[in-house]
Amino acid sequence: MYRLTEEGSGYLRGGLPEKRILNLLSKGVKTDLTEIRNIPGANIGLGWARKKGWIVIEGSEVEITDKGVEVVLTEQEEEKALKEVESSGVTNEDMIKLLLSRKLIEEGKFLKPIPKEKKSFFGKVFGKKKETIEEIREIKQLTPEMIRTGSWKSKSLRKYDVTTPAPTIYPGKKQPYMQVIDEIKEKLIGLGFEEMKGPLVETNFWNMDALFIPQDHPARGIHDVLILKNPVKGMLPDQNLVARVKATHEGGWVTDSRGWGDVWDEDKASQLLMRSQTTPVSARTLVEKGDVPGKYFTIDRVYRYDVIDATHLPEFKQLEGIVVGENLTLRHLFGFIQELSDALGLGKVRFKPGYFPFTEPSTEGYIRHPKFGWIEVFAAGIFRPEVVRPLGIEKMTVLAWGFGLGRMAMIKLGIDDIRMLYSNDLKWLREKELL
Amino acid sequence: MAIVEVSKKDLLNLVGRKMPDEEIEEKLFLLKCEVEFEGDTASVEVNPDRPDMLSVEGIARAMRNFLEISLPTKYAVSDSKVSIKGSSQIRPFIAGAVIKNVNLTDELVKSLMQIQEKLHLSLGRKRKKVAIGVHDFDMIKPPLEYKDVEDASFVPLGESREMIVSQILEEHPKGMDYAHLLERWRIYPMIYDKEGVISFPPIINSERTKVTEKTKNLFIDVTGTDLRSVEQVLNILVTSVVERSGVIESIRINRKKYPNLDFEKRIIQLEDINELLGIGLKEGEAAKCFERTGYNVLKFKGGKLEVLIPPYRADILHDVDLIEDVAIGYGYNNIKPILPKLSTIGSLSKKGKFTRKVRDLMVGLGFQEVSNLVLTSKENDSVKMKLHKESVEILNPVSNEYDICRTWLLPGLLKVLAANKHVYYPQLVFEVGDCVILDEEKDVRTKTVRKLSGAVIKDTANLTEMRSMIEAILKNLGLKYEIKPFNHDFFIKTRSGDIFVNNKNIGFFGEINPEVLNNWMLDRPVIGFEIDLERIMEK
Repeated sequence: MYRLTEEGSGYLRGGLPEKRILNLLSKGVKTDLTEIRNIPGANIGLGWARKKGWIVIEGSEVEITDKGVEVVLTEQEEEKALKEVESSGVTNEDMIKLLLSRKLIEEGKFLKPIPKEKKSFFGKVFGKKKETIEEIREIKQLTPEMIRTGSWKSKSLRKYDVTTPAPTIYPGKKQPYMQVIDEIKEKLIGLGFEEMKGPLVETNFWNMDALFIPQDHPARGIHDVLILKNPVKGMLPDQNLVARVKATHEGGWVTDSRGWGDVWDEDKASQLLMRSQTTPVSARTLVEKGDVPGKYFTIDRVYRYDVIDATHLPEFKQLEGIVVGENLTLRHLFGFIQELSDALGLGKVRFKPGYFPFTEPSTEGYIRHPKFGWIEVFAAGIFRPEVVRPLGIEKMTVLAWGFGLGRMAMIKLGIDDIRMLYSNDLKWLREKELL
Repeated sequence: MAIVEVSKKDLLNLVGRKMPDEEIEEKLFLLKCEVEFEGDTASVEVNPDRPDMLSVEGIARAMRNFLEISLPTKYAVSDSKVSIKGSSQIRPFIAGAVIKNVNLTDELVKSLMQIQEKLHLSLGRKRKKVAIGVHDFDMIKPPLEYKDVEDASFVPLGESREMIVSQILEEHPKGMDYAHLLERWRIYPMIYDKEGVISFPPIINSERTKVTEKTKNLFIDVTGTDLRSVEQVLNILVTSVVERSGVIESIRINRKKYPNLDFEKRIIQLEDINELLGIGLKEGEAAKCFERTGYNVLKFKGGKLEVLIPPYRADILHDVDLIEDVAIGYGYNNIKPILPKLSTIGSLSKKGKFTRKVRDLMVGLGFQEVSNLVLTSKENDSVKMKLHKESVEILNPVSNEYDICRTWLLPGLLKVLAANKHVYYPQLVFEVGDCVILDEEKDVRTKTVRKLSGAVIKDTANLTEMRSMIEAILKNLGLKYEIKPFNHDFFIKTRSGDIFVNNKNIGFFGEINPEVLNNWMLDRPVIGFEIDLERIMEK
């Protein structure tokens, strides 16, 4: 498809420059070169006229030849071709070559040129005379202007190959382990649990003593917990509470227990550490909420002295909950664990007697995994009287439970290295599908 | 948790019944133990509350009770006429016993070694609280004396020459292991017989009184810093040995007679049992449950049960300990779960709800969430960021990469970016997480603070773009904000600002200083921001 350039259009109207030279010379006037040169386009005209043999230039005089005389009144091939391009956008190949080289036409996908006689008319009724615009070419991109003017109606949009792969993009996403945790929180809230919180740095008082763990228990040492260098000591809570805990450790206080018998040291209790379990949060919550029914949970970080490998990190998350109510029994504890297991889609729970220093009776709950067989995922029990009585709980019974969060998350996410739960691998994070 | 290794053959022999592996596993499971088999060896996991099961004899005894093959019986104790006089300041409590006519089979010897080791570790608190010595009674020449001395010379077990205390503590393997328990003292506890030292607790016995295949009679000494633990360990050891063979004879220590193998009588209310367990037992049924877990029941009537607690049980502090045994005797697999009728409304904490909103906004802005540990290093938290921050420090970190608590999140994000230099750019990462700040006012001298941080790394990192993001976040949280220029060492000078909400400085944003980029080995511009969510949340 071609159309006239501005120059081409000008020649069509005003005649080819070489023709104009001829017209000048044909009047029989011998012309001085310098005079001719003053006329616009004269140089081009002189060049072509000479090339075509229509003129001779001797010194500073230009004279028309016999050939030139013949040609004066005849339509040139170029002129004819220009007309054809203007009206239909095409002409013969030879002419196309020539006109292109003279820069009188150019290539492109254009609207069919508006016929001269219709031009001004068209200008007035632009857009309404559809029949004057012929739809012949394809468009790559729909533009706002086309939509606004409706000009898209007479066009066809080029086919788009929808099967070609496109560049990969990564949406913003939540971290996979966080997704697992969010989902579990949803289920717990659905079961009526309220989220509780506690500090990451704890005193031994809340982390151990209030939970009736004896002060010389091996799990309180530097090979088990992360003790602080700075700060070193914290403040113990309310004096009366401290006194009750002390009395309970030393001789059972009023709990009908033997107690541990050892002397209870306030100094040891005020030592600071990174909390080694979430149970201090439960203890603090019991004191805060008092001797009334409630269900509380927390999913939060805890710390142990564990050398880092595929199954150990010094920092990991625990899921813990307490159910505070009147007349709760071991059957209720089992019932509640089974309900939780059902909510998490883990199936029937097999209960084994267990041992934790702060609960009695205690249990470990196993579920059957299709690949790993029976695995322990629940740890639970009824808080001992030596724990709850000093904290001010007398009417209520407190069921406590914990769930092996990290392990289940690893199974769910299909990973076998615990460090992946905190992965820095952006490629993995970007490509891991949503839970 | 202790792993006790036993021979399956030996175990079943002591139980008195043949059982396939699955049944052994099932019964032990219901008795609180997990077990793994490899050939003839069964590795039994024993919980810290059952030191009486730290030997194959103790495990077999528990199984026999459970399977109703036998009930605990009284222990007959006659008098050996041996006595120990004296005392020690360092290990004030001492107990002991004689066991005559012991058939020292390989199994018994192996078991004896294992239970001593395990008792030392658990109840003995690595020998500090309790230490055990086992001797060939026939090699002992009474009378016995227990005293602290400045020095002593004897041939310790395993040696052929006489050694004095300092040599033992420095050269003998057990001396080296446990010398620290005697660090503060200049005197040392010793048990003497007529001829010399027979035991240097908690370190080592004498070679002279060592147990050999020819030994027929055993003498056991137990010393320590806690009376109850010393007595319990003696009882556990003695009752374990006589499961196989032997006759127990007592010794007199000052005015006490040991071992005291009396069963403690205890009255427990049926009502208390049912209140805690919820299985609605009658007296007779409860009695049966007790018997299955090793308690003789003297009588059960009128809502009361009179039970006898065996002398080897170290874990009965409160009635609840007995009640758990009732549940075990009943069979945990027989307890039918029921749901508590407790109607409560669940919810996230206020902070939890706010965190969720913030995370949703960040995801909406196209950021990938990351999760880092709170534990970090001074290097990462301060030095690489051109700062000197005070933080919580760990005394015994597992490595020096994790020896403090992070005070902010941005370094963690830079760490993530630094690990992903071969991953497509641009990268947008964020974290919402807890940091720990020192705070004298709090009872734990620290404040756990929830923060939000985001970082963008790309060739044409654009501060304006980040400001738009911050505005989007704050506006959507319903907050009016103000930016004031402020230079931070980790940002490029004049290319950072602090964010104010309600005239409170809640955070900052800026373009990371190339020096900091170098520290993290990052080679592209990074823009970052961090906001203290607690400050926004407080009224």
